[in-house]
Amino acid sequence: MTDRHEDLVERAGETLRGESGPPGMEERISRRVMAGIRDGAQRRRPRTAALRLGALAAGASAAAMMLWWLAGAGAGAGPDQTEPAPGATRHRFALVAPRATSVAVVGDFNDWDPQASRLRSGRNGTWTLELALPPGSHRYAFVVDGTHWLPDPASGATIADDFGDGNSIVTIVGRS
Amino acid sequence: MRWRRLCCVAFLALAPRLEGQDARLTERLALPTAAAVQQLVDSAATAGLPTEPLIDLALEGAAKGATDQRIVAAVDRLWLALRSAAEALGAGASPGEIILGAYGLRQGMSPANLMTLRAGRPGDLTVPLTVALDLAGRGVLPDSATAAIIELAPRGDRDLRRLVQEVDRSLAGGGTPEEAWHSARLRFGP
Repeated sequence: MTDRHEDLVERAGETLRGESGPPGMEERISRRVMAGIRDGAQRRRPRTAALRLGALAAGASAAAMMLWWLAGAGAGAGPDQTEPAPGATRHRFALVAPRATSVAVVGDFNDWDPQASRLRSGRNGTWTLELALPPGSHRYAFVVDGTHWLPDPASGATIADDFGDGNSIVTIVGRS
Repeated sequence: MRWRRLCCVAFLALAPRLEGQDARLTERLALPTAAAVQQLVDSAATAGLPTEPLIDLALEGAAKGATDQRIVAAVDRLWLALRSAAEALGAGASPGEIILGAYGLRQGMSPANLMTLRAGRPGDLTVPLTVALDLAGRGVLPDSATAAIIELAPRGDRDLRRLVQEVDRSLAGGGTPEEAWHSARLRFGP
């Protein structure tokens, strides 16, 4: 029972108790009022429970439909990370960064996801990673320590970037 | 019952919008930005333009922490470049040619350069456009690159790739892009 209800009951009781009546009426009224409240609460409870169950069921079905939709949409979106595209060629990315704690390569081949392709640290501070890339021109950049973006210093070709950092281009020639 | 009805109505109202959305956009962008980009993607699809570069650019912007307005503006500019490239390359242009042409335009090439390449090199323009883009990315003037690619047409695509390697070699020697280009052209011959 809420505070508001209790307050209302108390005030109703006080009003009734304030009226003149036969002896013992006060107590009877209080008992009837409280019984009425308990009764009302018991009547309300199943309705509230039904409402909650209904809302839960509706929410669950909506969530299930959302999950079904997300699974369906996700299945057709994004590059397939498990199998290389037909005609893909392995390309080695390398960056000399002795002070870096992490280096990732991001580009149009991995949806620019800094978590997708991390380079491995090797000798002399050289970080490397080989990726299978489909034929075509690919834009890419390195992300050093998760925050610092830079184009590949070893790449001859850079391309204008809408977001200020500049990208490199790697061209993968299809096997013919 | 009222709740159930409301949930169904809300879901049915949202479902058509969500169904058409690329999941990558909704995962990585704020919903209004994703919706704006999706509109451009849909419009590109209707115009027969490739849509993947638009999504890719939006994802790049999100990864680089660009503002929503900047992302939408960049995608809009690329949309225009794709349309210009498609117009310049003609009705039979493949999606790959259109994408390379659009990047070429954004790299300083002109629609006239694309039309010259289309007229001067019969067949698939993927390799010539890739080379033009690579050369532009190395600082070679688009007009010079276009002229050379047309001149070298009889020698085939393989020689075009060698041309880029020659420019790289010259650049590694320490010259400016124009100097590198001239020495590469001299070594390469007519």
